[in-house]
Amino acid sequence: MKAIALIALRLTILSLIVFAFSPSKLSAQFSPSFAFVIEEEQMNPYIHVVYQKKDGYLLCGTTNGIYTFDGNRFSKIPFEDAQASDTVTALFEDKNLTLWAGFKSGRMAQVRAGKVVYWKPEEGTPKQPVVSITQNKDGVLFFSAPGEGVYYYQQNRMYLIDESDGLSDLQTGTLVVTEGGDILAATDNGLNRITLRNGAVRVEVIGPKQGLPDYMVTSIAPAGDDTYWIGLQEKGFCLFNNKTSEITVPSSTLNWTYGQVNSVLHFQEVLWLGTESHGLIRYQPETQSLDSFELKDRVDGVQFLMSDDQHNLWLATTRARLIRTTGEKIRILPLPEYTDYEHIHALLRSRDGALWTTDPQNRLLRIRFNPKGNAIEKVTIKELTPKTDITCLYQDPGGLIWIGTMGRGVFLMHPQSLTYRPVRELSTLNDGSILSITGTGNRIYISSLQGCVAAETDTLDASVEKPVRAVPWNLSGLGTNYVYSIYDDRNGSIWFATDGDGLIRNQQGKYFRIDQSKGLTDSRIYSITADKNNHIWFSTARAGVYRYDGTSLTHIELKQGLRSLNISGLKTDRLGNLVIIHEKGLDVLNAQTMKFNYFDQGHGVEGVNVQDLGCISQDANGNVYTLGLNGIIKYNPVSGITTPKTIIDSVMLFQNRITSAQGHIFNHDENSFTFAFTGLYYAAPDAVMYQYRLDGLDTSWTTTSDRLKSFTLFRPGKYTFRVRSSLNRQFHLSDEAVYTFEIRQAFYKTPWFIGCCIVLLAAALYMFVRLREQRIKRMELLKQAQQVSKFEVMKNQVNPHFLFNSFNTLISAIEENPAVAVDYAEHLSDFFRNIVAYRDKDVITLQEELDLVKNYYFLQQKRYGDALRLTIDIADELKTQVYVAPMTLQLLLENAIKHNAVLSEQPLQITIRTVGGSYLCVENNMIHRSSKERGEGMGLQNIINRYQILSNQPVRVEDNGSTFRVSVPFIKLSHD
Amino acid sequence: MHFANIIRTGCISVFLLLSAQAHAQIFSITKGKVDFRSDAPLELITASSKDLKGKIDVEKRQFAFSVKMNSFMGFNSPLQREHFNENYVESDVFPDASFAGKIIEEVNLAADGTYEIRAKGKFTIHGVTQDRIIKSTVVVKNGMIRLDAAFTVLLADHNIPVPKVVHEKLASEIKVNVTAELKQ
Repeated sequence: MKAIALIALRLTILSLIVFAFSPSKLSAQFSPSFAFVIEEEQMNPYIHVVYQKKDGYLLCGTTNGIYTFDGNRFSKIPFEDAQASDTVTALFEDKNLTLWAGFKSGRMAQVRAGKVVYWKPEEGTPKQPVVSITQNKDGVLFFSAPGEGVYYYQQNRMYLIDESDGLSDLQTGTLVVTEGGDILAATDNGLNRITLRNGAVRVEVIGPKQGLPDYMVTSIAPAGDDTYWIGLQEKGFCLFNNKTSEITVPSSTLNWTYGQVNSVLHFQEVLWLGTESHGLIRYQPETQSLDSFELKDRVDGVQFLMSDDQHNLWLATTRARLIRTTGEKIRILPLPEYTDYEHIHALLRSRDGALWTTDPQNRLLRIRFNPKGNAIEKVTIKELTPKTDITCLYQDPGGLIWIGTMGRGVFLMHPQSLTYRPVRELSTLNDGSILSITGTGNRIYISSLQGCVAAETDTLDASVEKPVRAVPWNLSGLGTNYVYSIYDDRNGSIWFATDGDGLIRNQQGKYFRIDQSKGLTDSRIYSITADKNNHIWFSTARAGVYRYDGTSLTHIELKQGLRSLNISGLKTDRLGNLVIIHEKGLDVLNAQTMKFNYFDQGHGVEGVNVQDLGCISQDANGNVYTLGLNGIIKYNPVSGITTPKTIIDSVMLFQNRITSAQGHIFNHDENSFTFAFTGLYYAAPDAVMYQYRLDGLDTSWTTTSDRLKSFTLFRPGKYTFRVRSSLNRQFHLSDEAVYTFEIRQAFYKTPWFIGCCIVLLAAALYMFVRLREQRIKRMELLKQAQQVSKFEVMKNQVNPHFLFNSFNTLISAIEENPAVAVDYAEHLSDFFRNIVAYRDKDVITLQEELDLVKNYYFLQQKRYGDALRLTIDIADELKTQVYVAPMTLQLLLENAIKHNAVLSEQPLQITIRTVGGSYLCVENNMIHRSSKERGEGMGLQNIINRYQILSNQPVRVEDNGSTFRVSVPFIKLSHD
Repeated sequence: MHFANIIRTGCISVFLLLSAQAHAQIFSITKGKVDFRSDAPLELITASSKDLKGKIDVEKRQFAFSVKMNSFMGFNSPLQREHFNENYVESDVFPDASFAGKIIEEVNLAADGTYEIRAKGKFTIHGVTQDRIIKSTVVVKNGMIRLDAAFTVLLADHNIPVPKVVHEKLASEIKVNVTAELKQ
């Protein structure tokens, strides 16, 4: 459903005609307003209550439920039960940001997950309408149900405060929390102050006995400092001081004619009263003035008043309209006699409160304001023709009005008596064309096409005839260009806005120029003012505004947030802000923060006259006046900057709204998101522009005026959606709304999973390799151990046996033949020396072995003589190339002797030769032996074992009955 | 004076006050029953009493009900009943539980019909009084009022301590049901 904005900013011809019939009366000032109506098929819902949530959204409680308003559209918050329909009479957001609603039926509900859900406490809900809900400091909720009293809900229990507890009347209305945490309740029988301490309820009644002018209290509004405005049924209003319990009745209310007050509101330092049949009333505490406050829209009855945090005043009227108005901020005074304002070049608000301007015949108009109706007087200056434009108006400290004209010089007029005279004392200006008149103290500065003039006058003299003296002025440093305006900064300098020579400063007679050399891009200066820090601000013809702090220039133009470069002038308001007036409206710049507040169409400021510098005025309170499409615009400064509030309304995943319960972490296949966002700015919702950026995908901001953005994300990771809104595209000055979320990596893609796999794989590989290595090593070790032990064993086996025999031979030789015995012993020692030498070797050369064998044979021959015959048949080369295991051949020889009979009749022939090119053999003829020697078989086995380790080829033993042959393989390389 | 006696006197005075009025507007309980239920993780205890006494002034919309604590029967064992009376509600010191006050809705209970009403009053058990609002359904037919109410009683609200050892056997929140028939 759309809201129809009943914006009618152009005065119709019809209304002009109406007003033309009463030329001496003027329509009253009004504040621009904009009306909205909720459109529904059956009947437009009637708005009972307006409430602003903490996030900035406006809520309307209506006969058809709760609606959210964003400045443009109303959208209904659905009931949990879609069929339900209930009239909302109260709205409240508690400390936990839960929205409560009270209904005419007495029921109550909360808004949960975007739906209105009825609340059903054990004790039941009222049967009378719930008209007000509030909460005290301790979190206790209070509800007002006229007819039953005031309920409170504490620790899951509902309690009722009624007459038995001291309540003065069961017809209770608005509830307001005081600064101390008590509750003020409006009733038909006075004001009740309810205190809740330690579960005990105490009710104090403040009624006529305590000074209350009326019994029936209709409304209450905090006014600050623990004081409260009390709206009454018949007697208007009064002020209640909660600290002292005193009631102050303003004198203006003594003859109250505005009827029943429905709602009170303290806003813009003024008390606003919404009445049942007299519209909106305004009371200004400072001046104690009470008047009817007109809006653009005619308002007869006001049901409810509210202000938002963007300086707008909202009314719910008795005719189902929601109206937004600027309140005090912007006031329009129409000049209905005239269809256009082209003839108006000058404007002045004089200190007595009158407004001065001109009519198409160049008569001076004085408008005096009166609550009963404004009075307008026309003054003709006879020296002027209808073609002589009045270009500027100035009121000096004495009160006299200075009038500048085009071609007729300067006039001086008394504001009350309206007597006047031409100023002839300044000869250059006689019949001159005046551009501007300003002044300070007793000085008057006048710029004209004839040049600039400074004059002096007695400020205390308020007579028109008072003399005006020209002040000699050295203006040689000023150049030849026209001066549009002159500004005395009261700090020793006079500044000149020139047409082409930039800004010229006259400091104690010395002239300084601020022009292109300082960075100025447009040397045509129109208007000058100063801020609270005494920095000079000035506007140029086409380049915007500059600030000069004494040394350098700061440029304010579109990039800094200025809305238009077509500027008519500047003023400084009483809060120190710069009011920049241009064709689109007013841009109010906070000189400290450099942030703007904009007042334009959405505030009723339109069609500003930018042709005439004289069309800007400022009164003693700092209000700024200028001329717009609808009449004279009065701007009343407000503090605080209003920028659109950026809110992310909802985040949707695949068309389904994400609830807070779902959290912010999503699976890899949940990747389609839609963001809905709003920049709340009630004065101009359509002017809001947005910028968004999805961190994790975008690197730069995208500007849009859409309020929805969708993304489909394929990459997992952390994302942050940022959005900000602005009225002037200066997004870097705006706040952001963010939504951070994460899309998880697909399970099988996560690093830890892959990592695990890799680690497992690596581990497996590693284990495999290591095991193999270990096995190899083990086998190696085994082999080595085997080898070592075998060798040891073998070595032990060889030696004792032979020794035994040798000694036997030696013993027998010693007796027989000592010389032979010595020889024998020598050979024996040689033999053993060799054995010792070869003992630690794995292999020895064939040559060495043969030497050993020969030695051994010599020894044996001594024993056996000719019965033993040895033949060695080996090629010489082989003797050094081939290796054998030590004592192999010797052992074989020994064996041959051992196992065969050695008799001279049958000699034992042993032959050592090569066989097959790779074997050495020891063969002998076999002679049976009767006795067997000990240790049989072990020597040969020994050799076989040794050669198993030393060579791949086996030792061959051949026994054919007559010849016994043992063959051992060559060992060519050393074995390790 | 013993606190329990004050309560008893108070209730009786209310009754007397009501009785002193014109008889036509006072309905008294002819049949009344109070059930309560303690649903704890380790034990379920139920008990009821038929000893409910009370009056409603239909014109003034005021009421007063009371029941003797030692009239409750149905516990899981006689020992339990003894504990109930001696240790928990201390019925020798505080013999009655009562609820007296006013009906919030502007209903005419003299006329036939069904009403959903809320009773606002002072609820006293174990000598401790609490303000309570208790919802109930009232059916009026042929001069007889039939009343049904269900509410909870927090033992802590009435100074009835639950020792830690029986925490799992005794609920801190007791569910109570009241049904009554009243006639003029």
